[in-house]
Amino acid sequence: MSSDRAFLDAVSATPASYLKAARRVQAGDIPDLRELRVAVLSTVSAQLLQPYLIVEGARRGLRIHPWFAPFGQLEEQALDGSSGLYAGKPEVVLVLARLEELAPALCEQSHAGPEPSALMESVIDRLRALLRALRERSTAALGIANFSPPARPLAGLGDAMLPLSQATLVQQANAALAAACRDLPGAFVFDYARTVIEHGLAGWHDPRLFALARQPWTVEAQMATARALARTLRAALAPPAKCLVVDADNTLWGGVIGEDGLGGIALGDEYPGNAFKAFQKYLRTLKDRGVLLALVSKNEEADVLAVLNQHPDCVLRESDFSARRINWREKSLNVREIAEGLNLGLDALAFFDDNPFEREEVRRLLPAVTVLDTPSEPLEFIAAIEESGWFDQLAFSAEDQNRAVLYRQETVRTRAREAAASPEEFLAGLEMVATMGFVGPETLPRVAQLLAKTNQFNLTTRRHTAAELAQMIESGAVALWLRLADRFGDHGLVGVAIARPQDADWLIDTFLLSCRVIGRGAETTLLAQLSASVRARGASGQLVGEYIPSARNGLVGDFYPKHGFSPCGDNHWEKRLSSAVETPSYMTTRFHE
Amino acid sequence: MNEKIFRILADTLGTDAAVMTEDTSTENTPEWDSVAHLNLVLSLEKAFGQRFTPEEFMEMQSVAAIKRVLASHGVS
Repeated sequence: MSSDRAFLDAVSATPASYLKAARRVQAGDIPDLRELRVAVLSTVSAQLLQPYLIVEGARRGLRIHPWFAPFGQLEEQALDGSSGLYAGKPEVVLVLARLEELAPALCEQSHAGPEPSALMESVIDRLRALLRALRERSTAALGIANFSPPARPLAGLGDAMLPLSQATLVQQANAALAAACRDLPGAFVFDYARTVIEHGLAGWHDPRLFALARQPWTVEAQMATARALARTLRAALAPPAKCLVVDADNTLWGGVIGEDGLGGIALGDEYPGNAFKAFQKYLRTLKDRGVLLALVSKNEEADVLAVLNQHPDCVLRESDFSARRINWREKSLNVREIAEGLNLGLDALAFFDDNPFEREEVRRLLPAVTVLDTPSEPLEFIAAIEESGWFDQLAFSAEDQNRAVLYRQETVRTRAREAAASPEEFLAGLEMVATMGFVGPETLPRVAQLLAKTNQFNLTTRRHTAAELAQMIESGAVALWLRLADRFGDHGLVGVAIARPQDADWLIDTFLLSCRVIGRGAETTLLAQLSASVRARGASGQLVGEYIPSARNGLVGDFYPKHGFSPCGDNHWEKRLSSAVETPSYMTTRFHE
Repeated sequence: MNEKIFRILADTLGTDAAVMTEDTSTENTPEWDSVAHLNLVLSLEKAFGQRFTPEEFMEMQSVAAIKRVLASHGVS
């Protein structure tokens, strides 16, 4: 981090200090921030969040330009295509609506009026319609805050004993909001409820500010809300780190295995061993979320493997790590090899090591790797990784939860490749099945995720959002997904191809493949299906391919010429739709209607 | 005292502390709008360790008024 941003660390917890820093961020004092236009619709006056949002955004690499609708304007802005909301062309629209304003009856009267469940249902219907209205008019990502637990339940202490307590009703509403977001492309929940709970309801509201200015929050609550919002925005825009590289001694256990031996290291159910055991359990939950674990340690490999395979309290086993380098070389060399072995860019890696020397070595020699700050206190390891935000992910796909298994299957495949006499024999022996289909609501989230993060096998690197994709399909584009399976396992949804009509021809807007299936003929299979699907639309002109070079996609520079396309100028290639692309003989294909 | 108030005002409003006087007020300072006013009074609360009533929020519309309210809290 350069000294440009040192002023961010010097901000003190007063509005004046944040305002001053926010002006410097807006003036461009920090280079290389990602610009982000955010529109906020709220039932309360939310402008006071502005300086905190700008500073917390800058701390996470974003230059946020917030725009606040006049308080109380939700549908007024969302339903009017010419409103200030759309005029600002926001990339994210946030809805901060509180139950206190949406359904006063739920919060103010304990009896009479409509039944609470029915009232809550109508609130959710209203918000669902609001999100849909935004979706129809904008391709922005849509975030909606869920509801905080009631500050003062109407039934007081007795709320917890009610058949349907107010707190439970709020939880049900939050579940319904989440479901609404899952059903809408590019929509996500901002977990406001959790933010309130983490900070504490007792210090959240400032009745003076609400009475004077319709602004409900204490200064601390404004800060906490902005912090959580900035973190959520970052997670909505940037993919999480894909792999966490950890050290062994004094990271996975206390002590040094080479000196203390299997019985001497701290790892167990008593302090200090329980701190390390808890940390290992946390790492396992990261793995379950789809983060790959890798181990880099300066040790004798046999010593470390003995802990992983034999220590009764070792939670993580050898098979939990997708890659490891246990030797006496510089850690930067090992980390680089891990990235290569897993076919990941260095920027997809985060590094966690208790030794400041090793952290500095990796930071200096591999600046693209995220080196996480490591607290001196092992009990704080979990919070340090979690709060870093590098593993934040707002939505999960089946592929995420299965990722470590996929990479393990890959190791088995590598062995099979080494045993085969020729590449063709190896590919034929894989018994591959490619299933393809048109992108629809069920596949859209995963497809959008692939567009957001695929760098290497990506012909155009266009980062269309889920909403933009939905719109392209609506206006006639052919969008295909491809799943690949073989006898070792299922890779999941790994390929996307999108073509759109352009006069008599069709232009391939997007063509990509997850890096773990490169070189298996899946790309040719997908291109053949794309050509066939476009033909089935009655097209008879040219299929036009485009290659937009980036820092990472040199691998696919000759993709179209290799498939019999002829150059037609400026990184474009064409092939008559009447001449088919051949599917490789070793690939079985299925089309999912 | 004046200097501390001027600095908080300048940081909050993004204006120059050097041109401020006791007479600086919402009337003669366009940047001192209603949102800035809330941020200003909340910053004064933090800086002087005080808590103001809604009436005091409404009263503190000039440097002189801010000093008057602070004095009534025993801060001078």
